[in-house]
Amino acid sequence: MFNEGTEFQRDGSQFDRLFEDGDAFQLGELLVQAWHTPGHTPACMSFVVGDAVFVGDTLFMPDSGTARVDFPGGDARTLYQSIQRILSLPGDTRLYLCHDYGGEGCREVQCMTTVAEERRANVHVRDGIELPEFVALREARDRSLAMPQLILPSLQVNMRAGRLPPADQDGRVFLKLPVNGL
Amino acid sequence: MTVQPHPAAAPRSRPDVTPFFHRATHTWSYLVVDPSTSHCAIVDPVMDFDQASGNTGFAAADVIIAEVRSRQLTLDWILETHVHADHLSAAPYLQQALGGRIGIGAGITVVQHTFG
Repeated sequence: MFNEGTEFQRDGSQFDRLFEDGDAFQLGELLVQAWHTPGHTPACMSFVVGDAVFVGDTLFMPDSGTARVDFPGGDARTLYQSIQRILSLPGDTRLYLCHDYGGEGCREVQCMTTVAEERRANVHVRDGIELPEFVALREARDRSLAMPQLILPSLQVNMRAGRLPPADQDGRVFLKLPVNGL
Repeated sequence: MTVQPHPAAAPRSRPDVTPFFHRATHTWSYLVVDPSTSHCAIVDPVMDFDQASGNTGFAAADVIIAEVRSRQLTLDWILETHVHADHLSAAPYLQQALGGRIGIGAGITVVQHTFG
């Protein structure tokens, strides 16, 4: 989409470590497990540390549901399976979210919920909502969503591990705005 | 006969978690600390970006750096849960200031092929 040419490496080498599903590593005496939890995007991971999970864009607060699946590589069925895996953890597991919008302004923003609370009350994936109903809910919601304000600059920078594109000979850095690219 | 506890019943470790909210993008970043060693990880740090002007900034990242320094923590990892589409990452800025390794899912290569 951004016509980056051959100088842009597509092998993940901008990062120091690429995690496969099930990889584990130490954080002091804590063990961190990397779980591949795709659906929102193909690269989505959740990091499981003791009784806490950093779930990225999979689940949101119960009143806000789940992450959108309409970006390239997103898939509602895949997201459902990833979420079921997270929700199979013990009920008191702390789930730390990547975003909260305060229930569209109706309450204070929050960063954490639990497996039990999501299973009881999540508007998209609480217990009893099966895959077909989830897919219908998720895809209907996605049809109502605009693209994120910062999607074009975000992708160009984040696919480089947060680095800006290379500067030109005068030291100037540019981001691209592909017309009709999304 | 000795009854062995089921592994799932063993007490789980409890990391210390400090959240940081980036109001402009509604993003939560986290400082995750092993209380017994003071080693830590930062999850999903945000770089400020004003689209109208094209200006970048590091006010949000500097708050996290100050917290790590004041608590005298050792940063081992900067973790990205995915290639975010709604904010820009501050991972390299944090790495320059505090060290640590930047990690992401191996699916990054798919994303790089799709968008590169």
